Amino acid sequence: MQSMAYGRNTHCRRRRPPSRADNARSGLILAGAILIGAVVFPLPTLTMFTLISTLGYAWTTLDRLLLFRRGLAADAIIITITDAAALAIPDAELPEYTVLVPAYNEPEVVGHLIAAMTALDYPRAKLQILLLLEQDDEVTITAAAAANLEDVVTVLLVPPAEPRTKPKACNYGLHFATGTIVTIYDAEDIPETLQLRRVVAAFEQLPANTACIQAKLAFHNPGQNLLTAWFTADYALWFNFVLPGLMRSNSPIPLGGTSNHLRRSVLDHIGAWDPYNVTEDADLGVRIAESGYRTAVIDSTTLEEANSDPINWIRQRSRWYKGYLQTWLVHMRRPRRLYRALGPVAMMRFTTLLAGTPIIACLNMVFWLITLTWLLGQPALVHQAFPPYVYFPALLSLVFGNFAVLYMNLITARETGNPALLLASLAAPLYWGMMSVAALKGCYQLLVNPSYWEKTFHGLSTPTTDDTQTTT
Amino acid sequence: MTSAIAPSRARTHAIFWVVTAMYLICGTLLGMHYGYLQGDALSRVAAARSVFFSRDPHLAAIGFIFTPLTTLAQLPLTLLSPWASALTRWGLTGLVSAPFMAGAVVQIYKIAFDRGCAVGTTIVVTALFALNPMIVFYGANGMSEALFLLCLCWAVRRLIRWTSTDDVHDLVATGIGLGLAYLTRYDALAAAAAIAPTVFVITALRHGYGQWRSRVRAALLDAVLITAPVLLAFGVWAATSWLITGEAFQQFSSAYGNTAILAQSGGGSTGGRAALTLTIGDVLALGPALLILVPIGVLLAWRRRDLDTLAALVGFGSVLAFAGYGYLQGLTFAFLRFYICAIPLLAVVTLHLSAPRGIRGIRRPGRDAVVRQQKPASRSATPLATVGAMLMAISLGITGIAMLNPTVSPQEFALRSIIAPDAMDTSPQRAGELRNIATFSTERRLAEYLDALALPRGSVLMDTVYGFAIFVATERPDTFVIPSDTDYTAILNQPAQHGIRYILSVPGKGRGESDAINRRYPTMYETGSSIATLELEIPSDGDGTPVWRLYRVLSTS
Repeated sequence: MQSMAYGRNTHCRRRRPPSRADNARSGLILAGAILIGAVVFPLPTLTMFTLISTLGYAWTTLDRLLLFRRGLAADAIIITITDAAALAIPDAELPEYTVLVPAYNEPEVVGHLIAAMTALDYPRAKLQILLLLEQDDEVTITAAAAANLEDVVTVLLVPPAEPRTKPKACNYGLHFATGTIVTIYDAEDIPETLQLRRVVAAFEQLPANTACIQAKLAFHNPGQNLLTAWFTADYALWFNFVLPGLMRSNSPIPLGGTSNHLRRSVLDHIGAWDPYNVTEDADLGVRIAESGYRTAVIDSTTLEEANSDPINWIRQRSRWYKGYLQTWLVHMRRPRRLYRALGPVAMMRFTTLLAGTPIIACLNMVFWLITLTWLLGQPALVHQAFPPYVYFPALLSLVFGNFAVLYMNLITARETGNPALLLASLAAPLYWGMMSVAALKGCYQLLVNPSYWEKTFHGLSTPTTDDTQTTT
Repeated sequence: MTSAIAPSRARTHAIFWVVTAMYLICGTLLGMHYGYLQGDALSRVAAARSVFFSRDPHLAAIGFIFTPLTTLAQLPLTLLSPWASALTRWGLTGLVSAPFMAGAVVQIYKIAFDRGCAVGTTIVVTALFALNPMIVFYGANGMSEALFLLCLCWAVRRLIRWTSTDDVHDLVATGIGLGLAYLTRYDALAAAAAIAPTVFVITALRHGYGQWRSRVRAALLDAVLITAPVLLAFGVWAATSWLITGEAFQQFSSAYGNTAILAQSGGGSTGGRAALTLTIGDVLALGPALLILVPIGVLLAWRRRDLDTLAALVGFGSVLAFAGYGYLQGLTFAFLRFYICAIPLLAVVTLHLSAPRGIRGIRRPGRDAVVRQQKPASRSATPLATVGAMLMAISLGITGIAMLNPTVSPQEFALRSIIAPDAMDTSPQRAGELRNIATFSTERRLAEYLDALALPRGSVLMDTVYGFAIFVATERPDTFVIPSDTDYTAILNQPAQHGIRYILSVPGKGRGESDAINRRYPTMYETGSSIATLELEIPSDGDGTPVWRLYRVLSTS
């Protein structure tokens, strides 16, 4: 066990994440090239920029529609394990299971944790639940001690060392994990009670190269305010349709932050979580695909708490955007190797998902402002930067791209049995504005503070029982 | 869930290509052999041609009076016109309308398939639809009806499917079909306005569980899914029009729009019983059997608790009702073609006489999907279906006769001289038909005359209200300065200074009022307005086309 862990660590060391200097250097080179272009050939540079952006928008929109369409078909390969099949596995045949629950500075959710973990239908003897707390996080340690967790949960104190990130805590926890399947939950998560059994059954059914099974994530508080409704619609679209679409297309799947169930043996082989990456889950998902393994999506939902506070939401989202871009940069350090492993289509998709998502969210702000100035005054500069061969595609992309996303939200609201999201779906452009702000913040932070972990505060909601849930 | 069987691809393709070929042959004969062209088809060719080959080629030249899809579909065709000017000269837009109408035929075939009709019924009804003279004529002549019928039949087919699959794919396709139909003809707004509330009511009643709030929400969401693509099409078209021309709804506001055309040409109705009779007469001319089959169909649907027929009635019926209402209110003409939806309606009602069987190929059955009997369709048709098909066949004959009547069918009656020519016949009716067929022949000769003068680029000023027929016929489209040119107004104000040598105009009566030259120089004919002198006056051989006047522009010195 010790040697395995050691091996994994050397693996991680070999795959050194980009240092701040690396980022700065590549950023500087790119910025320099653009600057020189802008000074020597200002107008062609600008036109080129709008043209490339337009093509990027169009490609991303079409690809997203394609994935959505694939995911929307009833026979999209979401793995469904019936209750009966899940319960039919005799306890004796269930494997050892480890649940990692990293938490930092969140004493208020310890109570939730016990309820959720006790509810899991899995033999206690085979279930190891590790609550990973930073050694200096006294409030949570105190709360955990007061809550008498010992029957259900083992508290593991992570030595205080940089980087202070969730993946580092998980890597530490992995040293003590005994399960052949390992999963991560956030402390406030409410996983569906049969989820672990379903995963075991799914692993048995799926091909041997399946490394990970991702459960669907949804929120228990969509009705709390407009933001949680938006967030719910966002998640419902992603987990119910886009992820199955990705899965069907054999593309790398950026894992969701929690409820991804991994084979321990695969983690030992390809390395666990990159402690410097702030979306370690996305990074792991790509690494799984790159190493020839597959990820499946299972029809079992974990309820999370949707962020109900705009500032808190922007912090969380900016971390995701930063992490996506970071993941893209990390894997693109050896583009040829990645290309050989993924093939052309998956490579493009990897790029549009991980680099495209944050960059487009940033560019949105730029183009909204350009559109606004155009509508207000039709300045000559905008006119010159958009010659007809850019103007018309850009206009089409603006209108149809926005409409397509809105329409996909509406379809999602219908197909996830959540018609109450109608108004939120129609008002989604405001949400996109917040996304854009978050993306700008995330991209800026990638340059100045790449591994800083924007903490998301939980426990802002008051879960009620009659809230509609995003399930299909 | 039903098994995912779609109608055989090979058979669908065979139907499509055979029917396309048939319409194309008819179109080519009508155009090149008989020179029988439709003004509205030709004017859209002119618009498409101006996008690439006018003096000032740009996309906005397609014009904003009518919705753009038909013209856009013609763009690839006009690209070939420098090498084969016959394509535009003879209005060979059948190349565009034939596949669209064949597409509509395929939709009818698929509706039969979705219904699970017997093979015989499917083939006979599809054939009777495809061979209906009105369908053949509009598949052949390049008018926007073909594309409109394709979009509407597609939307209605998916709506029919939705009533039993509750599949969101069907809902979305209905919406997109209606949106595209709107971009072809404004009439689609009527269909959308009728279908959306229908969907709302069906979903609200069907969501049998839960509180009324959740029912209303679900129903609202379904209605929004249907209407959103139509609203998008509506908004995009209005916004584009506004951005480029400064007016969002040129159909109503422009000097060239429908409102103006009606005011100038007369022919709108004065309402009352006469108008109502004509409207009902038009519908019955195209689908006399509707009178019998609709009541039977409604009764059967009621007994079978089957929503298919309702969907068809709402989808096609709303467009018919809108055309009738428009005429009664004096908003539009009583053209037979405005009621063309009666033909697919008749076909679908006939198909629905057969009892419904399992729908095949559902991508994602909805929560309220209806499970249908899976018994395979028998080879032989039921007696009821046979009677329906016979009535449809009789209907077809009546339509054929009605199309030759100038009162019922002001735009198609001349076909009589093509189908049954008689050189000895000197009756006024025959003369009228021949004049009607000869329409635009004068414009073709005028174009040849001007081409022969080898005039420089941009030296003939005209408006396309009537000039479109010259513009499609000329070998040298860039000789003409036309309203879509961005500098048109400047040139109109000072023709000689801009190198104009000739001005083409028509008398300022009827639609000639909207001719830009008449509006700018009302006394051109009487005085030459001090800028030009009348050189030629060319009387028209055609029906409804004016006398052409060719003015020579006085030099400025």
